[in-house]
Amino acid sequence: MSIELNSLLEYLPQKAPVGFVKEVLVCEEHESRTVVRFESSPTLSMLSEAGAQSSIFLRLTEEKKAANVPTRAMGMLVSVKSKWLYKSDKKSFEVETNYVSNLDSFFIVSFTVFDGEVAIAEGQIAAVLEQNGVAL
Amino acid sequence: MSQSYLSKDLYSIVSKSDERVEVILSSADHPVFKAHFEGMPLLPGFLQVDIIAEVLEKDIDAITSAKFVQKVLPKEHLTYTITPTKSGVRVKLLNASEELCGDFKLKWSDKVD
Repeated sequence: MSIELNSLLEYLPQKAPVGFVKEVLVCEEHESRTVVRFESSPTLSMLSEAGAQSSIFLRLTEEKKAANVPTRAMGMLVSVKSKWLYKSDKKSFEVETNYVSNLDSFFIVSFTVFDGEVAIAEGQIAAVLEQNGVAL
Repeated sequence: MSQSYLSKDLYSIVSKSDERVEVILSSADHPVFKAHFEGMPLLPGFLQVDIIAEVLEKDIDAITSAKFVQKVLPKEHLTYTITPTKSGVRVKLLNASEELCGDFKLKWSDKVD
């Protein structure tokens, strides 16, 4: 059974103007790819947040949804490290995220931001899944 | 000082020096708080970092590490302390109760317009 990837955007808890993910291109167990857009050229912090938001789509597989994994849980950002590889003044990018590891509800994910084929920023985030303020 | 489309009216500066910056956040009516999150307004971590760079007119080249220790709420009085390190700066973010909310190690440079 296939799913309409962009229907998954409803699971993004961050709304405009803070919700940066506009399209979901890939949504797999260990990898996601999204299109993110900003109203002006983003800072490195904004790109890191875009990486965190894109990581939400790592876990929304059909199998997990069927198993009632709480897809509406919020991932509370615990830590970030990131760096520019090549500064860009554009406003739209693709973000690839890859699962690194997890311990229960504590997840580590890496991300790379692309301007076309060029990687412009990369980093790693750690987040804890929460629901109603309680770690899952 | 130029503000981004997200931080416009999000905070007001109480005091500012190269070593210490105090700001007060706007109410939960600000669009950022309405969007992050609906019904549970929190200052996003990325804006915790961007506010201090914006106030001191810096461009962040690398986030060596940013730890978000405690949730930051609307109307909070926040204090940033900035300490130079061998490779950049260390910024600590405290709330009015002097509880640590964020601990950031950054590499930054003066903003170029």
